[in-house]
Amino acid sequence: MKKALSILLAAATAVSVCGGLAACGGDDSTTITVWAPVKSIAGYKQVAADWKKAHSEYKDWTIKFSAHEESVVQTDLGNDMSNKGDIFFFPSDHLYKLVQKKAVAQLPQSYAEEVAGRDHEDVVEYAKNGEGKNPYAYPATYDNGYMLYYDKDLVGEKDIESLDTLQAAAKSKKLPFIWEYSNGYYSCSMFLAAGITFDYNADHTKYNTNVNSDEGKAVLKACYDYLNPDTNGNGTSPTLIVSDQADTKLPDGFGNKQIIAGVGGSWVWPQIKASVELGGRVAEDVIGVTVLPKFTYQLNGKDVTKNMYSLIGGKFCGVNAQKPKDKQKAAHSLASYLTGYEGQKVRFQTTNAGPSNKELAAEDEIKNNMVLQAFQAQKEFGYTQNDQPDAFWSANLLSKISTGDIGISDISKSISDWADLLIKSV
Amino acid sequence: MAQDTTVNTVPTWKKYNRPWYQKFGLAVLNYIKNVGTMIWNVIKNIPHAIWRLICAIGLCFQGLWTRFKNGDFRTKISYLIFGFGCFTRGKKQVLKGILLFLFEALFIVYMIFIGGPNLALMGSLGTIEMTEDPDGFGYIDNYHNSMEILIFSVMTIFFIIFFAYMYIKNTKIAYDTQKLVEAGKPLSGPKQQLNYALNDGYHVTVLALPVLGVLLITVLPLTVNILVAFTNYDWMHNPPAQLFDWTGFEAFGKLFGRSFGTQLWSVLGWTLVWAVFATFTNFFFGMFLAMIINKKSIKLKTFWRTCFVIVIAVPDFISLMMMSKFFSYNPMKSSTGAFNRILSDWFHIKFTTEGGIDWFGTSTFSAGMARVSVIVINLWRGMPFTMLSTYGILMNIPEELYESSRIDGAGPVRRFVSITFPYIMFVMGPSLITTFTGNINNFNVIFFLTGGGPNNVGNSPGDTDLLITWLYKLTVDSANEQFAMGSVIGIFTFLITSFFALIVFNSSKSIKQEDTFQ
Amino acid sequence: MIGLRSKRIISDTIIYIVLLVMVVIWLFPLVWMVLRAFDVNGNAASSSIFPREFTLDNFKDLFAGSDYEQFPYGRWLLNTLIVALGSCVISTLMVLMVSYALSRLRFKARKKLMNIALILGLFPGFLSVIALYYIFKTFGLAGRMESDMPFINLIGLILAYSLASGTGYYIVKGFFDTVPMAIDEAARIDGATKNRIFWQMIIPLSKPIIIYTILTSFIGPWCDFILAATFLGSNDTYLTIAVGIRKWISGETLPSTHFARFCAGGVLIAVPITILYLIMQKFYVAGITGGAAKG
Repeated sequence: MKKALSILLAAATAVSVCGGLAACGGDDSTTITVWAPVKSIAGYKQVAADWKKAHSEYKDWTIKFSAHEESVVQTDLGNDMSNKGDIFFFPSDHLYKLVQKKAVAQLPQSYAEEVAGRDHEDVVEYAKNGEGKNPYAYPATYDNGYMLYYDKDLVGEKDIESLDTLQAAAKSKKLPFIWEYSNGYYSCSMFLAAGITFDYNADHTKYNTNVNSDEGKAVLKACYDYLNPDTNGNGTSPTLIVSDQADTKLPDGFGNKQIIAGVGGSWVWPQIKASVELGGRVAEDVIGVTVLPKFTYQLNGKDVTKNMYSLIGGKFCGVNAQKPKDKQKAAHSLASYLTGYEGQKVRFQTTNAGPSNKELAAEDEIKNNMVLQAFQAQKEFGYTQNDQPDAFWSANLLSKISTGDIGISDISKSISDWADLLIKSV
Repeated sequence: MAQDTTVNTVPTWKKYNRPWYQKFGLAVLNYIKNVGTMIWNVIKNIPHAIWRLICAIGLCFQGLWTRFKNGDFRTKISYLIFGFGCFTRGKKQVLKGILLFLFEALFIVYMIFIGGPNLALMGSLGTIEMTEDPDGFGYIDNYHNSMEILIFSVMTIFFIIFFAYMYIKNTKIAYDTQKLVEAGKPLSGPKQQLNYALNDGYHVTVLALPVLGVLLITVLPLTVNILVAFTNYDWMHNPPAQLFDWTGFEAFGKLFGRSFGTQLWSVLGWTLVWAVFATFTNFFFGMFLAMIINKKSIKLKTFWRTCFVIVIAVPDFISLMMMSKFFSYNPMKSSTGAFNRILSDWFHIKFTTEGGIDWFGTSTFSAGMARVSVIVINLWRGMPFTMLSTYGILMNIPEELYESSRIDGAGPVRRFVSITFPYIMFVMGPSLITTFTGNINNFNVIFFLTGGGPNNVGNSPGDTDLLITWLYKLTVDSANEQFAMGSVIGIFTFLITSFFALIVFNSSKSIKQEDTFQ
Repeated sequence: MIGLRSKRIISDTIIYIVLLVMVVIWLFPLVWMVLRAFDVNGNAASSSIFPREFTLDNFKDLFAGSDYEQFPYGRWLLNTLIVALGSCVISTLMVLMVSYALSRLRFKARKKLMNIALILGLFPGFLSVIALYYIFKTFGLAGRMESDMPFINLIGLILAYSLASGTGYYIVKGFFDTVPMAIDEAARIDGATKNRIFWQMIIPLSKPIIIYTILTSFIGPWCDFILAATFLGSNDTYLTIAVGIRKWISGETLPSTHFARFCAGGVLIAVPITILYLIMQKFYVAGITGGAAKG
């Protein structure tokens, strides 16, 4: 027994020592850790290598990449940021919270001027977090928004003009149309189109929204007309508007010719392209992208037709503010390079991300990219994505309509309940 | 316990001739009465216990004073310098004295560097917030971290209490040594002290490290957490970036009041329902399975048992994460989870939607379905545990009981009700209660299967959220962290679980007989 | 009338069928997971129940994939092994000491300690995670930056798992209680200290239950997620298995490409843990049933 215990102890010590020795090789004070989404890492590695060549004082430094999806970076950073990534990418609307947590460092003057000169004004302005001083992060992409993808073989230009015509086309083809209305990101589209605003005030002490109004109720009534199960069924019914994980179902659907159209973001395009080409067709010939369709709602007895709106935003690249000074200096330099012309170009080539860099955006390759073209057109019907409470993202009014939980008589109450929930969430 | 036998004026013959439902009802009423008296006793005892504590403290001071008065100058100096009384009385006690002195030195050093500064800030929980460094990179270093201040203040308070205890001990040692010398008796040398440590005082030696470990890892964080419930620690007051302050019962108010009041009770309700169903479905299924495997004429007993044990041997986070994808649902057939595909492809069951049944309510937001699914999958994962335990018990039931009852003409059902079941309940009783309280806090199953959903909205609990998964959501998993409220929920959960646990533990026979087992 | 023997055969057959059906139902999801580990298609929601094509690539990718730098599975295995070994050694020692003290020794605070241990066990475990993190961070045992020997994070994790394990003494104490006091008394008459009795007599008699404790505390760190995630933070190389694997199944992008790898990684550690668990069961049963038969 004692022998067994002592053997175990010896084994434990041996393994620990080996592990320790293995770990001791490598002085990490000259390592920069970058948190980037999985798909962009390969591209960014190249750019990082170029950065080292361009900056000889950092040529001995190592750059490590860690896979963190942008939307979860906020939670991954957790409470204590001093041992997390040195550079991280995050969606633009998370900026407020990260500034609050003092997670991102404000750009030094030289970098601020560089960013102001090269990136789109809207994004730069947003990066200042409403404080009017230097931005808090480097704009990395400017293409967060969703458009309408459609199968040119199945529906024509006339069919995609409005939600009504799309539904009629779906009925006649007996194939569904995908719109992830269970997700607050997509379902707010109609409310925004009707001119309703959802905003915190400057120091996040109050939340303002005018959703509890005639417009709001009218919009919800219109949604009811489009989604109610009695008129629109579910599953096998032909007027199906499917609420689905658009990001994964659009590629499958288009590839198998099982859907006529769908609402999706620019980030889905590479998968759609791959899926369609698996079937042996050229993606650009078969799939079209355009602005979101129009929809109609009744206000004061009159029909009002508006284009569906999209939330517009981008991705930022922030430098961890709670790291030692020399690390931060190097990180700023690298971050600026990763989000500069070359960095954004590589990101476009690998993930089809729309650039915020003005020079890049003017190039033909970008201008002729039909997805990014559609994005530019959609920006006109866009609402800046900013920090919203969870009640906004998890709003499930439309899902409840589609399952029949909200009936025509419940519309007023649902709207006012939702408004209450939003206002309370300070 | 004095209340063990209740006064029963019903004549004995009537006790046995009552119909079973009356017996059951009486038993329940009896039980409630017992519980009530027990709680009342505890409450009655509280002022008495407080009085005893005050007396004890008073006695300590009295002892200190008498020892000081009656001590010679060496003992008096011990009041200032620990161990002085020991190592100046001859070589034998030097070791003891040095140890005591080192302890005092450690305490003083600690207080200067960590204890003092943190304790001073405990009231305000820090005043210097993180401010930006004017020369452009990052933040200035000398800010206060409210959480660290809180933690170290509590640690310091613990240390001070321990120090007080050692102080009293030290004076006692000095005084006793003095008395021994005066009486001419020999002092104990190092060898005897070592022997004492290994023999009569062995309980101290052997428990010192574990108790210290528990203090550091369990008690200290727990106290800190309870205190956090009285602050306003949330995402807007999040060290190290911001400071948080004491706010008294504000977090309690938020939780029990308008914003989350109704939700709290509904989550509590579901938690209890879940615990009951989870424990008892597992128990009955496990018992049933153990019984049929245990039947004399069944072969390959080990094989059957091992098959089920494999299910629990796989780490639960893996199997649960996998189950969440196995039962996933999607309106489109090609993307729905495997189980739905199996039902439609192999069993040709037609569903209203081609994707199958929405087991976890992700698209249809059906709370009931999600709750049932969670209980069923928990049955899958948990039944082998109860099966194993009941199997072990069944093996130990003496055969003679069954033989004699068979001779008496008892059928299988009667045998089960009168022999098997009571035996199992006797042994498994306490463990059932432990399982019940464990299920109240069963984080893994709910979290990995449904994440608390459906109807997960921000900081509000979803439909399958237990108190503990809601706690997780509020503290670890969101950007709108609400630690203070989370701590309140934690305290609340603890009160609930301890309520159940203590009652039934105290009245369970097995625990009472624990000491007399040998 | 059906004879007694045929009645028994019928009831036995029914039982066998019931058992067979239950085993199939119980084991099917696990079999599915094992099959998916060999699947070419990495999407969690795939288009067929069973994989259409089989490949060993998922297993290869675990150790030598193109994104090994982001998901160093081999390192995770090593880390978890270190943590498990360290914590099982310390845990076992702690549990043995506490069980012996509470079972054999009689002292004033004994009942109080047992009650306190009971109460402490009722608090939700991870309430204390954040506080623990800060405490350990101050002593430099958790949340270390990458420039600063993050390996020590693992040591902090070992301590966090094992230092407080003394409260889990029930089973071992129960076992010690069945060892007759006569042995102790005989040894005491011979002049042995309690220390010697503990190490040289009680321990050798308790082999099965000790092995059970070792195995239980060894398996623990492999399955824990919350504490490990907080302590180890973000350095990809120094994560444990549970934290690392979870990356592949959280969020939206990764489950659609890495699910098969998740199954592969899961299967790879599930197999040894399952085997250990089964061995542990044997020792547990041996300990419980063999306890009465000691001379």
